[in-house]
Amino acid sequence: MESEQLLNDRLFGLVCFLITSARGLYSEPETYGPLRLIMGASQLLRTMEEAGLSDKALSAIAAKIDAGRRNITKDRQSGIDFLEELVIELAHLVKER
Amino acid sequence: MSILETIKARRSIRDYLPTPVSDEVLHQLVEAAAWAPSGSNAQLWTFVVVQKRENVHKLKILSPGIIGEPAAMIVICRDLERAKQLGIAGTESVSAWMSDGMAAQNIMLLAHELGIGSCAVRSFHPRVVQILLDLPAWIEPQLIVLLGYPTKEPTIPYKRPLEEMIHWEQFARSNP
Repeated sequence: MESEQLLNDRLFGLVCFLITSARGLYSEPETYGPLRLIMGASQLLRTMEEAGLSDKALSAIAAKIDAGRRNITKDRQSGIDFLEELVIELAHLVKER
Repeated sequence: MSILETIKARRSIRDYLPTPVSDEVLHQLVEAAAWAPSGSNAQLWTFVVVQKRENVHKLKILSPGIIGEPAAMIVICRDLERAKQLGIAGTESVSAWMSDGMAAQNIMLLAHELGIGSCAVRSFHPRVVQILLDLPAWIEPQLIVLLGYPTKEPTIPYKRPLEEMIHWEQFARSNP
């Protein structure tokens, strides 16, 4: 019950984050779009971990996001390179599943 | 620590320990903010200190710019009634925005000197903050300063070389 409540709170938090981000992005810098999306993905992955729904590969992606998310706002090319690497990693992950 | 050392050592902190920041320190930080310069000395600001865990969390989940879970927040607001009484622009006042920024910087510098991490956030929805904090319509939230003891030593961010930004007497065009 306790973990169900925690999952509910985390998912509700994510919904709040996504909706308020969507509204905020009309008046925020362009790079905040990818940043908010990737942070939403990070929140979801962490929630999956807490709920026991993750695996080693997904945890590695979450860790990679947390370590590199600042690249997104550093400059355009750093952001593209960082996200490109994540996308390629996801492609291999999807292929193997 | 000299003022310049404090300025150079301050970082925007986004990972905080759950250790609370005392009322006394929060009071000092607001005092530092209130001593900032303000356009026409109008002091249009008013400050809401948020430190109860559940209130911090509610603000966090509805403000995309708040990363991590700070121990406390100081919401810098603008009093539009006061602006009206003084006969100066309220919502769109550029000098009031600058004043809010200077107040935030005072908070962050003193916080750093006291060993507390901070981060100024503007990515929030003002109406949402008004609802959560019971602010009347004439009290507009402008900036939220997150506060808390840092979990780790922050890295030194890239700073443009001073030579690239400083000009003496006239603007020097290196690449006409």
